[in-house]
Amino acid sequence: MKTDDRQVIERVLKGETDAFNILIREWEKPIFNFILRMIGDRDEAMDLCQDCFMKAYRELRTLKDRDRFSSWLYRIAHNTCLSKIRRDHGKTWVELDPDRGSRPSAPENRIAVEKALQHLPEDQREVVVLKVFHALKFEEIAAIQNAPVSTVKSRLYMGFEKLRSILG
Amino acid sequence: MEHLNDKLADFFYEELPASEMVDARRHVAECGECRAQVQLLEKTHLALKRLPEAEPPRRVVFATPERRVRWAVLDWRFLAPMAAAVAALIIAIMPASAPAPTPAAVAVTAPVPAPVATEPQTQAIDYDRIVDQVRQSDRAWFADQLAKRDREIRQLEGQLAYYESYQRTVMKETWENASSIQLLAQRTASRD
Repeated sequence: MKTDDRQVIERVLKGETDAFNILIREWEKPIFNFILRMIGDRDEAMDLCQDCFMKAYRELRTLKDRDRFSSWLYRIAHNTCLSKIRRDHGKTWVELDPDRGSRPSAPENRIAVEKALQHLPEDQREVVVLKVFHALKFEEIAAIQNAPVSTVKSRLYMGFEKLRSILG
Repeated sequence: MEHLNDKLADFFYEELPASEMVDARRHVAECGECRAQVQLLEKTHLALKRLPEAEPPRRVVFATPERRVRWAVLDWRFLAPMAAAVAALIIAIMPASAPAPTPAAVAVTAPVPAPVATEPQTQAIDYDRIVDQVRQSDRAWFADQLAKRDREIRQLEGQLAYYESYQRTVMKETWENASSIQLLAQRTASRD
């Protein structure tokens, strides 16, 4: 059964701190997966996921539209990832296979797609991840990225095109 | 209808208004060019969608510290110093806008280091050295075991905190449901 985020938020704001665990239980996995696909490192992603929920708890009072908790949470996760990416600017997390010309066979396909995804620029990767894995609307992604909807769509097209060119 | 062009993604992800969706569906059925574009989007989308979701390696839990009060302590002799202590505590924490609970994250099990190997003896037997080596090896082994147990305890503590908080939530919800049912029963009875 899906939790009514609004009711839970109201309980937390009334001082029932433990109720925040309900929100964590519901959103921990999607947020972790989003961060993991943005960052590419499990332990790092887990730490950032924890930071993200800490920040969400501290700033819960600032959430105006309580029906849009998930978008707001993704926005926090977006900012958390962006800070991390900026801090680590210049580091390369994932290298593509040197043999990029050959088409990957079936068992290798999943790894190849994961790697190809990591090779996209952050803004394109984020749109692809939020759209494909988290089924967010273009408008929601635009709010998270603070960009026009048309830009978000362009990023999706470019991201998909680049993935196709990498995967062959 | 013209080609979908920049509405292609909206069509594929069904974000066009209902009336436009009908027209777009009709157009895609007739237009090979747009159909090919949609199929390309679908192919890439499905290739990505096949990637499995990862399980978080540990749980994020907000565990507020348990407040266990011994009522026997609330004797009048202790009330004055306790009140003073509480007042001091309130003054100390006044600048904080909201209390932030400490999330107790479950520890991840780290790989255990390889056991210490002893070198084979080929010369005269030096019993002191052997005993010393065995002791060192034992110490290393015990330290390793101790660290392993510590990690397990931390992991279990984290899990316990998670389940305790979950249990509290469920109990509260059950209590609320029971109250609602009781209230409903009372209303029904009074109506009858």
